[in-house]
Amino acid sequence: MNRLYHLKETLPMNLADNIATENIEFVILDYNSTDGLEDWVQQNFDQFCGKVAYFRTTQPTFYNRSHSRNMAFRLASGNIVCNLDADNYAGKGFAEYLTAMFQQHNSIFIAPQNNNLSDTFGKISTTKSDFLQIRGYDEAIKGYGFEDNDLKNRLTNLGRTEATFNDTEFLKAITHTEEERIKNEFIYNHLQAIFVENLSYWQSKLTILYKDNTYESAQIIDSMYSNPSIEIETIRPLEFLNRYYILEDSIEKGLFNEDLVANATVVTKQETLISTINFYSQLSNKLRFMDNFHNKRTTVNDESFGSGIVYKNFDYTNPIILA
Amino acid sequence: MKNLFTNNQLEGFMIFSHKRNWKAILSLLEETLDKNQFFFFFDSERGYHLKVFSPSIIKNQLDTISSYLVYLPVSETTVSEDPLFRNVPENTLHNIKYIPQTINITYPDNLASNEYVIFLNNLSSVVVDALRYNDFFVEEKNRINFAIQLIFMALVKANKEQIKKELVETLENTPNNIDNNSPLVNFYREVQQIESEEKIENWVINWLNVASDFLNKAPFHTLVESICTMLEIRNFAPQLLYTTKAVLQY
Repeated sequence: MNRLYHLKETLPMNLADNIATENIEFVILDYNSTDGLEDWVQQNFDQFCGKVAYFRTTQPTFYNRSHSRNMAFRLASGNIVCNLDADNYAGKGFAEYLTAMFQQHNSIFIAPQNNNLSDTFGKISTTKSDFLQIRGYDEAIKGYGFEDNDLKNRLTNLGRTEATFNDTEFLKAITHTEEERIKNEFIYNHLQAIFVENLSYWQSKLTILYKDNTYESAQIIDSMYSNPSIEIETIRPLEFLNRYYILEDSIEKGLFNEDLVANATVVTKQETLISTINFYSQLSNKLRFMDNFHNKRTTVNDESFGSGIVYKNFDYTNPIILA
Repeated sequence: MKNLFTNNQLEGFMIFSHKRNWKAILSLLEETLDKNQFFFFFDSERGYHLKVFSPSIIKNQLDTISSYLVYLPVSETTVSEDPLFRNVPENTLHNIKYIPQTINITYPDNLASNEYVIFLNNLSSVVVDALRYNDFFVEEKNRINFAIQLIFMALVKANKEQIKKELVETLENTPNNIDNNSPLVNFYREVQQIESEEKIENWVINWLNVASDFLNKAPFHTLVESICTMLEIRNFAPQLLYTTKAVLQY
């Protein structure tokens, strides 16, 4: 959503780098962008050599990562699908690589190696039938974080094996700020203020006040320091993903009043606000991710996924209804 | 490369205290844990602290250290290092159960973990000894200067051609911006003359031997990275490697 400035850089390059692959299709989902994406695609459509399918939905008011990907994957016509964020470069020969891998190996999905530091962590490829079988990205995972890990876990639960790539050619992405990552999401656009109350040096309460005067709060634990005893134990590495967590049953939601933050301080620095939104988004998503993981879920989105109305290639007379 | 904490039995604790108390604390640690039996890092996450590691720590030793900490002065600052969490109270001791991946130290595959731990113990001992002559750890720039000093001294007994070869092979080509008469080159030459000086401090002699032994088993960049990690200037390790490479080309 609203990433035309990235797509202008990546799409021409991605087409050029993969034009040799016969049956390739780039699906562009315009998630109600207001930055001129539709005009740009329409003006340049002839140059895309028939390899681009453009879909637009006019319903979303903010960016929903899982839902938008589900829509795009459902609209894809191929039997192998791969998520490519607007800031991601496919890399020269990436489509050939995927085709060969799926031809040579049964029951796999393909993802970048976990240790890669570029912004390509979500470049996950699977068969469309597997994707539909697990009912897509979990739409209960809102905002940034863990949707990719969750998808991979559930594909594994389905009996698929993860194949990974670490070729730097396939790991290129445009670098951008943390703010760009979340600026179209619900929490960022509806945020009034964030309050922090230090309960101890390993436990803090975050309260997020929205513009409609509702709030959401949770107690965050830093497990590095949450064991204040001096019992001697052998040290083990702690991955960042496991370090912080939301205390069980500590999430509260409701109508805001000043008493809720009587002992808290308000976050004033913009940089801290952005990082806190990112941080909280990941922690709350992690709760859902862990729930799916512990319950060994394969399928999610019981009612529907990627649903909505879209229009293909600027034709507004024939809406496509994704039920 | 292997991770130090993945398959090891190291135990550890953190002592949160202002930097001005570290010299006294490190002296106490040498008495309590025995010299050459532990290694440490400087750290500032959630407040200034020392992370101390040893293959074996006894509860009584921790009690001794804890009882000492209460007598140390507390700093005036209340500014938290983290926007969401409060600093850990000063002059307190905490166990280390987990180590973040960001400081999970790596070492070369050909080195046994106990060999690397011995090197870190010796390096720690050298740093503590050096502290008797300097308060270098208070400011970052002083720690960088001290790291340069250790690195240049490590070259005294080393095979410089071999190190030069390693650095040329592993570092990308960079312009040599150190001219023949720069203070850094002069400093390097002075350090190379160090053995002919009449009076050499003990920590220097120890370091020459520790570094020489280590460089017989491990690459030079591991030595530099270990020093920088210990002194909490890990981000400067690449620059110090480039500096060494440039200096060695004269």
